[in-house]
Amino acid sequence: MSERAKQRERTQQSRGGLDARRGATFWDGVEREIEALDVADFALFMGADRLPFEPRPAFAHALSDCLASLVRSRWSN
Amino acid sequence: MARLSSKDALGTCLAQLSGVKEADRSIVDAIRGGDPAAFRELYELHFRRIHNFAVRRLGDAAEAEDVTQEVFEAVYSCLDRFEGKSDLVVWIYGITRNILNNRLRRRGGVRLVSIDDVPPEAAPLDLGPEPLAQARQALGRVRAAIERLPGEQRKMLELRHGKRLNIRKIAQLTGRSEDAVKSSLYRARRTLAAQLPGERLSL
Repeated sequence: MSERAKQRERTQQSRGGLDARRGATFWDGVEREIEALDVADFALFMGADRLPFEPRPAFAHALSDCLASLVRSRWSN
Repeated sequence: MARLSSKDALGTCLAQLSGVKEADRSIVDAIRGGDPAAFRELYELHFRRIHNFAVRRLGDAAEAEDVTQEVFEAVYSCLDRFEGKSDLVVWIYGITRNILNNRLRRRGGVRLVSIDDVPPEAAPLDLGPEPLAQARQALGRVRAAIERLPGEQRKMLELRHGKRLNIRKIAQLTGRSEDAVKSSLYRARRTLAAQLPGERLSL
């Protein structure tokens, strides 16, 4: 198997691993939350970026880097 | 005074969030078109919202970081699942709520956010005061109707929908049979529906 093929497989396994943690029950729960959407709570969500909580810059950067790395590996195949 | 149903209020809310919706739509198109920078855009558009919402609901910054990471992992790994039946921001909200609820359930109970706890700065600037005020009034009517329920029915309703316990657990906690719990809940819902004919209750 070529290095490129191996990398593609690793990426797919990685994506599969992330998705495997969320089974049908998880997505059923998401559907329920959307179906029973609470206006006041959704308004809170939409305005939450203006709440006086400051995310830790180190966390924001680390998560951004981690996601960028996942995205790069996804599109490099 | 005209009553605003949850569905109407939601429609108004979403209609006024057109900026976010438009941005989301173009980002999803770009991600599906293979633009790796688009996911970063999505991250920057929603990161603070998800993080701060989680802090608000959990009251714990470290846990909120875990939730934020989980939400973005779910969005990233499952964007192909997004069918566009709802807006992307609503889909992300659903994922966030579900992850938060799972976490709160593991802690031993879901903490409901009261509309009174929503600080003025949390209201979207473009939402306008009217839908929020009407939502407050609707919640006030529901709360007053719940207060008027007989004690046992109110308790069952709080355990079932406030703490999200199943019937068996409620029966164990209250020392009632499962049939008695179901019967109390049925009577409570029937009373509420009779007292609140204009409301769309998700009970």
